[in-house]
Amino acid sequence: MDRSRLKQFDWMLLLSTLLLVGFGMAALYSATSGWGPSLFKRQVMWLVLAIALTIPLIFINPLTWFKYARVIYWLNVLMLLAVDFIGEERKGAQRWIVLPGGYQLQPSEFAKLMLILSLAAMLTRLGEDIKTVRGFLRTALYVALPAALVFKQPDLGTSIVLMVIWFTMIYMANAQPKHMAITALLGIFAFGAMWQFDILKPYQKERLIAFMNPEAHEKEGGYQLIQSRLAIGNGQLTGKGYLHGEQKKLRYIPEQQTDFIFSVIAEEGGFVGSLTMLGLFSFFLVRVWRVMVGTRELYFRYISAGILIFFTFHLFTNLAMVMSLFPVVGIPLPFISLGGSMLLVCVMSVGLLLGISLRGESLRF
Amino acid sequence: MQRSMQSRPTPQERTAQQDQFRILLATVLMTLGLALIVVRLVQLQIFQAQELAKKADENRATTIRLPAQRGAILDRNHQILVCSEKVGHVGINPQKVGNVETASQWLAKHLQVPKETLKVRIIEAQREDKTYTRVARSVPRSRLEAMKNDYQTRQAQSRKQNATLFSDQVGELSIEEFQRCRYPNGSLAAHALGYVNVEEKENEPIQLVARDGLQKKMDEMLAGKDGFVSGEKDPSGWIIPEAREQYTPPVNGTDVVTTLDLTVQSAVESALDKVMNKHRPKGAIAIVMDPTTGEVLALANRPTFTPNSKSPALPSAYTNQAAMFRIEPGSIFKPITVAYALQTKSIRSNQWFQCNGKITVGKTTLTCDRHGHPHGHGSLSLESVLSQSCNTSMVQIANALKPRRMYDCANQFGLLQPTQIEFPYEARGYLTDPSEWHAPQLRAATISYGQGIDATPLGIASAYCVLANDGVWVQPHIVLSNRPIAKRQVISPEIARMVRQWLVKTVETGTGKAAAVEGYTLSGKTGTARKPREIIVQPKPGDRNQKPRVIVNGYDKTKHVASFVGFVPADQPKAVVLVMIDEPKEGYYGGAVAAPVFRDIAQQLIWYWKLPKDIPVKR
Repeated sequence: MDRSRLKQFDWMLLLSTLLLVGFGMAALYSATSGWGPSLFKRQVMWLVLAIALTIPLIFINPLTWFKYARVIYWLNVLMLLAVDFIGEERKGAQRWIVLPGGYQLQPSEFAKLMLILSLAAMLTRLGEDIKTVRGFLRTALYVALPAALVFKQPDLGTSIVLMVIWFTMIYMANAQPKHMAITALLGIFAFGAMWQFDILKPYQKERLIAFMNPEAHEKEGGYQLIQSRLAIGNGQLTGKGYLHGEQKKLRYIPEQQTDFIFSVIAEEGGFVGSLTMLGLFSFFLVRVWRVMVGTRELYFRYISAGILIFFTFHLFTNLAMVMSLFPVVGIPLPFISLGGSMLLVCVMSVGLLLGISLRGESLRF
Repeated sequence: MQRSMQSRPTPQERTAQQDQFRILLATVLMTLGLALIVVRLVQLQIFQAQELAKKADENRATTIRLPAQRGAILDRNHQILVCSEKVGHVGINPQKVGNVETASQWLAKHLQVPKETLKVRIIEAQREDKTYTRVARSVPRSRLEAMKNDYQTRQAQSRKQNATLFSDQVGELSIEEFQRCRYPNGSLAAHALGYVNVEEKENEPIQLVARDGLQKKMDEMLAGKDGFVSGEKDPSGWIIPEAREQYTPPVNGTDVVTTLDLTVQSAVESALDKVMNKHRPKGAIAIVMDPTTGEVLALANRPTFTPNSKSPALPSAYTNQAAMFRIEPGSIFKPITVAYALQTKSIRSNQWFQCNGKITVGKTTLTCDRHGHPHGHGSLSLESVLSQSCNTSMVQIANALKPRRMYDCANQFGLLQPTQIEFPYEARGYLTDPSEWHAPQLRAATISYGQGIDATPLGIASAYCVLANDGVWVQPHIVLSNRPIAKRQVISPEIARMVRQWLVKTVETGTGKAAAVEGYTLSGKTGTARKPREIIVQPKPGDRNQKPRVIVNGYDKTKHVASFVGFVPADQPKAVVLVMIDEPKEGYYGGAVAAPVFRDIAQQLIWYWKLPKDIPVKR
C-alpha cells in the first residue's frame, strides 16, 4: 500500500465513528450506573477487542471477502445452527453462545455483516442475471436460510433486518421492480399467515399490537413503552442533566441499557441531546453514503449499500420503537446499546468501509 | 477471481441515469424516515413535554401513611373505658397453596376458624382463579405474632429436613394490619363513649371513623395525626431511601380522661338492667352528677348497644337519650317552680295552700286526683305540696308567678338551652315565649307541674344540681380536664337549701318512700309525666308527602314517663341522681317505678363513698 492511497483514507468517517462511539459509551455509562461497573467494563473490553480486530481489517483488501464469500456464508449458517445446540437460553430465546470469562457471542448480530459480505459477492457474480426470475429467486433462497434460522431462535427483529438488507441490496443491484413488488406483497401475506397460524409467539404478537395503544396493553409490554415515553418527555428541552435522569435512576424502563437506551439519552439530554445524537448519526450516515456512491467497484458498492441500510434501518427502527411509532421487535441502537456482538459488528463494518475508501477510486460529490 | 471481477460491468458501464435514480430514491426514503423521527421528537419533547414530565413525576411519587395510635378514654381514676388495639386481616394467595389440607389445618389452628370452612373457601378461590382470599378478619395482634413465628419456625424446619417447603404448602400470608377500638367493659357507658367504625374501601387504607359520643366529640384529640413518608418509589413500589423527600412522624392520639367513675357507672348500669327486667319499659335513663362541679359521674341509657359487636342493635338503641330525649318532665319540675317562686318573692316560704282536688283556670278545670286523694290534699305547707306532689297548689303558685316569670324560671334553670356537654349531639328543652302562648294563664299553670314544657334529662339533672349546689348553675361536663366554664347564681343559697330540705319529706313520708335507704337521709322528687298522644296519620292518596305523619294531640292516658330525681346524701349532696323510665309496664308512678332504681344507685354510692349513717336504724 503506498502513501498516495493513504491520502484517500476517509478521516471524516473515522471521526464520525469515534464521536458516535464516545457518545455511546457516555450514554451507556449513565444507563448502567446503577448496576455497578461490571456491565460497562465488559462493554469497554468489547470495544477494545473491536478496535483490535478492525485495524488489520482496514488494511486487508476487501476483495479478499469476495473470494471467501461462500466460506463466510456457510460459516454464518453454521454459527446460527450452533446456537441451537450449544446456545444459552435467556428471556425465552436461544441466541447466545457463552465464551469463557462470562462473555457472550450473539451470532445473529454477526449474521448481518456476514450476509452483507456474501450477498454482495453473489449479486456481483449474478450481474444482469438478477433481472431473471431464476436469478432473483437464487438471492431470495440465499437469504432465506440464515433468516429462517434467526427467526427460529426466536429473534424476529434480526430476521427482519436480514430481509431488509437483502431487499435493499437487490434493489441496488437493479432487480426488477415487479419482482420486488410481488415479493413485498408475498411478504405481507406471509406475515398475515404467520399471525393467523400462530407461528409468531404470543409475546411477539402482543408486542406487535401493544405499541398502538400502550395504555391498554400495560401488562404485555405496554408498560415499557409508557415509561419510555414518559422518560423522553421528562427530558423536555434541555434534559435532566447527564447521570441525573429521574426515570432512569429508578430503572422504570426495562432494557434501558440495551434496546431502550435512547430513553435515557432523551431524558438526560432533552431535545437538545436527542438532536445532537441524531446529528452525529446523520454525519456518520452521510460519510457511509459517500463511500457507497464514491466507489467504482460494484462489489464494494453492494457492501457499502448493505452497511448503509443496516445502520439506517437500525437507527430508524430503534428510535421509532422507543417512541412507540413501531412495534417493539428488539433492534438495538448501533454503537450505543449494551451488547458486545453488536458493537463488534458496527465497528468492523466501519473498518470495512475504511478499507473500501482506501481502495475505491473515489468519485467526488 | 480478480480477473472475473473485471469482466463484470463497472458502474460506469451501467446506465448511469438508472443507477443515480435508484440511489436518489433510497436516499430520499432514508431521509424521510429520519425526518419522521425528528417530528416525533418535537412532539414528545417540545409539545407534550410538560404533560409527560408531570405524569412521570406522578408516576414516581408515593406517599406511605404512618398511622397514629388512637388515644384511650379513661374514667376519672384512669381505668380504661376504651383503648385502641392492633389487629389484622389475614389473607392468602390461593394459587400458591400447594397443600389445601395442610394449609387449612394450620390456618384453622391459629385463626380458630373451623377447618372445613377454610378448606371450602380455599378450593373455591382456587377454582375462581383468585389471587387473594381473606381467611380471617380482625385477628388480635398477639395471635398474629404467634402465627408469624410459627410460620417461620415451620419454614425453617421444612428447609432443614429438605421436605416440601412450608411456604409451598401453605402459600404466603398477607396480613393487613390496622387498629380498632376495644371496649373492655362491653356495653358499659356505650352512649357516653360512642363508637368508631372501621371503614374499608377498596385500594384505600383502613380508616377509623368516629360516629358518636366522646369518640366523635374528642376525635381530633384521640385520633392524633397520621405521619407520612413521601418520596419516590421504584417500579416495584418500594420507597427509595435516598429519594425520601419528606418525613412527617405520626403524632399519637392523646388519652381523654372523663369524669365518669367506673364503679358508679357499673352501679347505674345494673340498676337499669334490673328495672328493664322488672317493668319492661320502652326505655330508661339514669344520670349521676356531682352538683358542685357539674361532672357527670355516670350516664346510661336503655336500650343500649355493645360497641364493636358483630350483631348490631336496633337503630334506636344507639341514641344517647340522656342528651337527646325531649320530654315533658312532669312533677319533677315542681321543686324548680317552687324555688323560683320563692326567689322572685311571688310566694312566701311559710305560705299555706288549699287543695280540694281541682282548680279552675279560665274555663278549664285542672285536677289533682291522681294520687289517691279524690277530695284534695286539704291544707298544705310548701313542704307538703312537694312531698304530696299537689297539682292544685302548684297552679296557685303559677298564678302568683305569672306567665313571664314562669318562662324565666325554665330559662334560668338552663332547661331551654343545650347544656354544652361534650357530646356531639344534644337536644334542648323547648318552650315558646309567653307572648306566643295561646292561653297564658293556663299554660303557666300546667308548666308549674311540668306539663306543656319540653326538657332533656341532662337539663333536668343540671337544674337539680342548682338546688344541690346552693343555687349555682354549673355547666355539666364529662371530660375531666375541662374545668367548668359557665356558672351562674340562679337562686339564693338559702332558698336552695330550704327546698332541698323539704324534699327529704318526699322520701320519708311522701310519694318517694320507695327511694329510702335505711339509716340514711336522702331526698328527692317523684314525677309521673303524661306523654303527649301521638296520632299517626296515614297519607291520603293525593298527598305530596307519602309518609305517615305524627300529630300530637292532648295526652295519652296509657303512656307515662316515671321519674325520680334525688340527692345523695340529702345534706350537702355529693351526687344528684336522675332516673327516668319511659313507658313502664305494671305500674307507672314515679314513686313506684323510678324511686327503687334511685334507691339501688344511692345504696351503691353510699357503700362506695362510705357515707356515714345519720339515722338510727329501727330494730
